[in-house]
This record gives sequence, C-alpha cells and structure tokens, in this order.
Amino acid sequence: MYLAIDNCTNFASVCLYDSNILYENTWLAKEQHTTTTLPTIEKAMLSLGRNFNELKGIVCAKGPGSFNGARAGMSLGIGLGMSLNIPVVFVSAMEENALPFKDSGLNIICLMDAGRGEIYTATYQSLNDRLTIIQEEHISTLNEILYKITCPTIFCGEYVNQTSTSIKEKLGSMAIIATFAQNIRRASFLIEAGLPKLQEAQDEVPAPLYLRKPPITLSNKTVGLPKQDN
Amino acid sequence: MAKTKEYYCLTVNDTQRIGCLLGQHAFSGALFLCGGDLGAGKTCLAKGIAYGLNISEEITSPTFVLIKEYYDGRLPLYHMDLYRLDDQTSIFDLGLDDYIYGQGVSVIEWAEKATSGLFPSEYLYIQISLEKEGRRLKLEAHGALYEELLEEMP
Repeated sequence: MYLAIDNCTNFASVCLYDSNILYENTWLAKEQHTTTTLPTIEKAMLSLGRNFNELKGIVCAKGPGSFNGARAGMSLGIGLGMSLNIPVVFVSAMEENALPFKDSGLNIICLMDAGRGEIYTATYQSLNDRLTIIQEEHISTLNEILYKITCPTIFCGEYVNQTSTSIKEKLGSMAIIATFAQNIRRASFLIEAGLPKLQEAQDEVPAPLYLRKPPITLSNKTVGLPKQDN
Repeated sequence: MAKTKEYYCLTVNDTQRIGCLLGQHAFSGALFLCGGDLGAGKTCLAKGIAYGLNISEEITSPTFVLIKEYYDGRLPLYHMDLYRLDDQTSIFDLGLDDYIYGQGVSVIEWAEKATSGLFPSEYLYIQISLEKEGRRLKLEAHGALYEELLEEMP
C-alpha cells in the first residue's frame, strides 16, 4: 500500500493506493494542515481496516505553494517514512495538477496564486501520453504568461478559477480552461506521478520547491532593509 | 525619495493612537516593518494597529513565540518579531512569506534584522526613536499603496 500527501496550498489531499485507489480525500485545510492531515489518514486506515505497517512507500507534494503547508506535508511524509523504514519521494504539485491532461497532446500551463499579483507557474508538454516539463516552476504574472502563448494550451490549477475570464479574453479559443473540479489537486495523481519513482527506489533528499528563496549567505551580521529600485 | 511623515509622541497613548490610525487605514496584504531600539515602543505601536483593526484580543510581544496571529478584526493581523533570530537562514525558515503574501496585515518588529530580498519591495517602514522625552515615529512609504496610506494619515 502506498500513501500520498499534498499540503501545498489551502487545499490538502491524501490518497491510499494498493493496485487501486482505496481512499482519497481532498479538503479545504486553510492553515490547519498539521492538525487535519494525519487524523484524516488515521481515520482512513481505520475505516479500511488497514495499518501503517502495510505502507511500502510515500509520495509527497513538494511545492510550489504555501511554504509552511508544503513543509508540514513533507515533514509528515518524511517522519512516517523514517519510522516505517520505507522510501519517500517528492513530486511537484504542478505535475500533480497537469497529470490528468497527459494524453491531451497539448501544452499545459499550471497556475497557482503566489500573492501580490504574482503567480507560480510551470509549463508541460503532453507527448505520447507522457508529460514533459518545458518550463520549470517559476514566478510570473498573468500578462507575462499569456503574452507568450502561441499554440492551443490547457490552463489548470487553483488560480485558473479566478483568472479564466482574463485568459479567455486574451487568448480566445487558444485557451482551454480546466473546470473547477479539475483545478483542485488530488493526491491520487500524486500517486500516479510518484509510483514510478518509488519503484525505481529513488530515495530522494527532501527539499521543498520554494521559488521565493532569497540569496542567503550564512552570516550573523544584520544587513539592513530591502533596497529600493525606484 | 521615499515619502515620509513624522510624529512626536509624548506618551504611550500617543504612540498607540498613531498605531490605531495605521490599523484603520491598513489594507489587505499591508506590510508594516518596524525598527527601533529595545523599549522604543514597537509592541505598543502594534497594540494600536490591532485596536485600529477592531481586534479585541490582547496583543502581547511575540519576541519569544516569533509569530502571533489574530483573526477577530477587520483583517487578520500577523505580528512577528525577528529580535531573537540572528542568522538569515533562521529568518527564512520562519516561512514569513505565507503571511506577508497573504490576505492579512503583517507587522514585523526588528525588520532590520532581515536581509534584502526577504521582503517585497513595497512596504511601510516605521522607525521609532527614543527622544529625551517621548518618542519620534518616522513613517516611510515604499510603493504607491503606502504613499496613499500616508496621505490619509493626519
């Protein structure tokens, strides 16, 4: 049996899989990932009559998104992995979002709110029923993203619900907008993306995918306030 | 040149009154960075901001817990204090982004301890300095929204 955990945004999702989906739950956790995720998994195990000892591997979403959310989910996964002595692998939350469209034959752009008018985004290409990343996760703005579109593209991700009108206005029929149900990430897709990695036994060094990391030099000196570019 | 406004506060009440005005004019996502020596009145100012946001919970210093969150006002208030953090990695590891890029109002004491790049380029910087009697509050607006906020202040 395998477990997937995604805590990367206000939405949390967990999935248990054993040749088939045994359990999946996606809920609005807001800032309560730490208090709701493990109890949800425990309840699922209980209702299925299964046990944590039966787990063979864990897949965690590594971001981008909420820094604290991603860390909470990854810590839980890593902690369980260590105590059960099973491998833990990490998958981009954007890949999880884009995976349902892997056989579309189109480009897929994932959008996630980064606050202050900025967006986390990544672009995938669906080719031969597989996803290939063509632009890695980065921070951008909606205008910048839309400006570069030259071919029919699927837009998915939580932020699409709020921006679909602007996307349609700008791109017309070139934009294929995912539905609100498709825009929420589901941990079953995390399993689908992570299983090959688990089967190759790629035990990874955990690192959250954090796109706003400032260049930090380990120093005890105070270096003042942010500089203004004016 | 950043737009500034200065206030002279003789008493604790005066400092809180300025904080209250800031709280009343604060907008969703506002970032207030506070600087000033120990005992200058940064937490006192934060109490005023909370009052201006109609928060009824008591505001206490977040020096030891690092971050406190208050949700019962007009907007959420995130009150943070970097005093105890000495290296940039520890500050980064706090995960301040979820707060300062969130929907509430963030007040960060000892903001000067964080390196550039950790905060967005738009914010209000509030420098509190001790005078012979009372305090001097210098408000420095970085970004159009904060300039507007300063203009709304008396």
